[in-house]
Amino acid sequence: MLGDDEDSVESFRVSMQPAPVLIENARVLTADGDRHDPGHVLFAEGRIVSVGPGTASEVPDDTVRLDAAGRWVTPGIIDAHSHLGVYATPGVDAHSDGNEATAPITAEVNALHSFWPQDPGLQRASAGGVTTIHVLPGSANLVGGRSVTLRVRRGAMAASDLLFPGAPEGVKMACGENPKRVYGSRNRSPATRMGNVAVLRQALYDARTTLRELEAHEEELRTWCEDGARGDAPEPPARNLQRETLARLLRGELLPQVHCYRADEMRVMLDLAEEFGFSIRAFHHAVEAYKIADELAVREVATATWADWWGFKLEALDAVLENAALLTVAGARAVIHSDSAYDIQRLNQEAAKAYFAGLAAGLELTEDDALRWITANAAWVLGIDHLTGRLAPGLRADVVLWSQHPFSVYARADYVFVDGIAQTVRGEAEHPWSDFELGQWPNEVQP
Amino acid sequence: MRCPRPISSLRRLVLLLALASLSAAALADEGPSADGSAPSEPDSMTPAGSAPSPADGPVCIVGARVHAVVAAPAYATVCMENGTITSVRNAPAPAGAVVVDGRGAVLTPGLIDAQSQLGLLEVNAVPETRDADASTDHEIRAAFRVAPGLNPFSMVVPITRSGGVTSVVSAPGGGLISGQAALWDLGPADATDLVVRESAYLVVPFTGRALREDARSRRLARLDEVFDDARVRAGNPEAFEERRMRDLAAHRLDLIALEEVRVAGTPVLFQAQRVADARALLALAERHGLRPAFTGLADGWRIAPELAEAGAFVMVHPMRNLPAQFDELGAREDAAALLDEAGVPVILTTGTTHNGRNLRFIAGNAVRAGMSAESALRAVTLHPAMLAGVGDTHGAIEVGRVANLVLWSGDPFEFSSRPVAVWVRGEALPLEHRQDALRERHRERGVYD
Repeated sequence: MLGDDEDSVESFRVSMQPAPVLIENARVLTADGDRHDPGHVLFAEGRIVSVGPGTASEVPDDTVRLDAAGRWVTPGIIDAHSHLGVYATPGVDAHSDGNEATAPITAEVNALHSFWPQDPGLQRASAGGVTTIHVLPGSANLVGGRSVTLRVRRGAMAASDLLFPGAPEGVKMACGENPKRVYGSRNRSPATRMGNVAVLRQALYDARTTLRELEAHEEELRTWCEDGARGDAPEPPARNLQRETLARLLRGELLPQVHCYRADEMRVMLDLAEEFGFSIRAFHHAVEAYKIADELAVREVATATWADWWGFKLEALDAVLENAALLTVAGARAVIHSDSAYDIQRLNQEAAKAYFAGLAAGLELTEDDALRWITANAAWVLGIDHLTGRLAPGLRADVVLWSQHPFSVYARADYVFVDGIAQTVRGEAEHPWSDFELGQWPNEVQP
Repeated sequence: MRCPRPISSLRRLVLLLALASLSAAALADEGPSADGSAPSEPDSMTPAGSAPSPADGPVCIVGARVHAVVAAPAYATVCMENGTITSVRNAPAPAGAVVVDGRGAVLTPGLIDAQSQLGLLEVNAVPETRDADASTDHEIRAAFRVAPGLNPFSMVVPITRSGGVTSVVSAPGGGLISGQAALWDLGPADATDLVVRESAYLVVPFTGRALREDARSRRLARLDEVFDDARVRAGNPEAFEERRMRDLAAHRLDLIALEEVRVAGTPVLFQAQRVADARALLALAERHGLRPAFTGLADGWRIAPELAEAGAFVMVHPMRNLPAQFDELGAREDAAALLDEAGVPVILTTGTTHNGRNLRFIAGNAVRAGMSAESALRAVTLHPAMLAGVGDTHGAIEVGRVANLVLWSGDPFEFSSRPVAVWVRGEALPLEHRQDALRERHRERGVYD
């Protein structure tokens, strides 16, 4: 156990769902292959109890019933790529906390420690049906630091209040234009794509050395324990947060989340991962993933991308609307992410764009496939697919009730539940979640 | 490259229409039904493949639900000839016309994105491809007209058109006065006369970022000075040319351009956000006899009646609902709806160059936030045309107007719908683009082993 990983904090704030909730007469999309119309979802004590056609067979006495006639229910939306909190609004220099752009390898930093829980973007993301976000450092560095999975809930006083229990941390890595631009412009390495790879490989070899030291220490410790723990415990090697993070990545305990646009560079990164014996969890942005969809499918590397962003830099030139659709058809795992405080509010719309583009191109997709891009598949990328991302008994009660089909441009989230607790209730007058926004609108009621 | 085989645009159209799944949705259903009679059955349809070329006579779209913008939605036959709309009426197509079956579809004017850098920008991070910012040593760039720098062969053009956008206003940025935006039709790239208005509006940035190192009052004073000096020069051009005049606050061509803007009534588009800024700029416009318009204006809804009174067009991005900067603390997603209700002429824009194709979804989101579908359509058609000075030729379906038309498979604002045909100046243009070619090349690669 590169064990006592003091960087990880468990949330100590536990909120309890006050009463069971039964959503009835709904059109239920489970992201688990089913559509129940009409159907129901029952949840209690933060967990889904029952999902299916018709209504629930056993309903506790104190259940709150929501009549969802004409409305749609989906799992809570999961954004696999967000910079909420680390690039909070207002977007001023004082809020620029996402890139520790002082060295190309900063594996030692953790997005959790930049995250501002008062970011006004959180409330708006919730209004868009988002219940879970993966918050990453930026892409200035080859290794930007650790990324964390958070709940989208009101009332957090610290980022750690929002930690998703049981979610592994990620490691944000980047290839391509950004690192070489940032450091090349300072006349230091990496200044080229080959520089990117060289610096990263060296860091991983260093981490491999660290891993051996740590494992040797673990072995010593085990022997010492087996021998009755007599005398002083063996001295651990000096802590090196940067190398330990990469060592844990090599051991598969942290999920590599790799920012990479071009197909050829993804292939280079796949080779590099093979060299060091780890699995890339997902390529992020990855606008050219469709060019290597078959390989990504075989290697079980997911792709988290946009529906339609392109052209902002050269490595983003070959985007197609059907990226997610082509990946899905090839058997690879696709995710639609936001990377934006605006698009996170409409991930249902982004998925809809990519879905209908795929259908128009004659690709065989189901509505469930497209819903998975923003739910179950995103949960897999974050390593929490056994906890959330689908409507299934036992999973966390992360549930959205939509006014219309979520792939309609007119759809709105009427209710958004996180662990069964309503975070957004549309039409209900409420104060801003963020202290920053409190009292900014004199003489008016803020919507 | 495995590209789609080229086929005549008209034949393509018929094929596309046959394929399109035509579902009526919100916009298709809206509007007074009293005057919307049932779709008229065309007498006879031109079979696919034997359609005569449009040069032989009028092209008529029959049976579509027509959202003319200047009239209530209704079923009608719309005919065009020589690039112009020649008839809009509930009657069969005249004999000899090329008939396009629009039954179940929706016909709108071509959409107009009112603030883009299309044709001026290919890849943001590649400086060689950027022509929208006249970065010079002086900040007054009124004579910088982007029109001659427009590249109709830009790969972004067909992508934009695939979203039903048939005209854009390409605008400059930067400086104290950025320059003059141009409205152009997204016609065939090799056409020589795509620019419709070289001087659609003059751009004046007055937002948080532009003001980062310049206090508002100082910037206002500099604007006052330069507009004053433009008139000083115009009052005595001979003295100016013969250097018998004190130093003026801008270069010669810029002063001349500013006077032309004033005399012609070319709108001055202020990029501003706050109430105080809007009021100060309205007053500035009044002092100098300028026609004000705004873009951004997060706070605009607070003073909607004042803006309506001033008749100022306001460009809104309906998704900008965050306090992204300190002058956007009033940002809200229903700003467009509130302004529209107060009688302010609203324009909806994408705020992007590469995804101008999403203009219809921007409009859909404005509707989602409370704007009427009719107002949202006007905000992406007639209003931008009016702002740019082409309100009599563009942005609506009416006899005599330019035949920029889009036939949609359903509600234009919905993700499930798409354009099935786009006409620019009466010419049906292909909807395929580079991204389609990329998709087709890579969609059927061998399985990796």
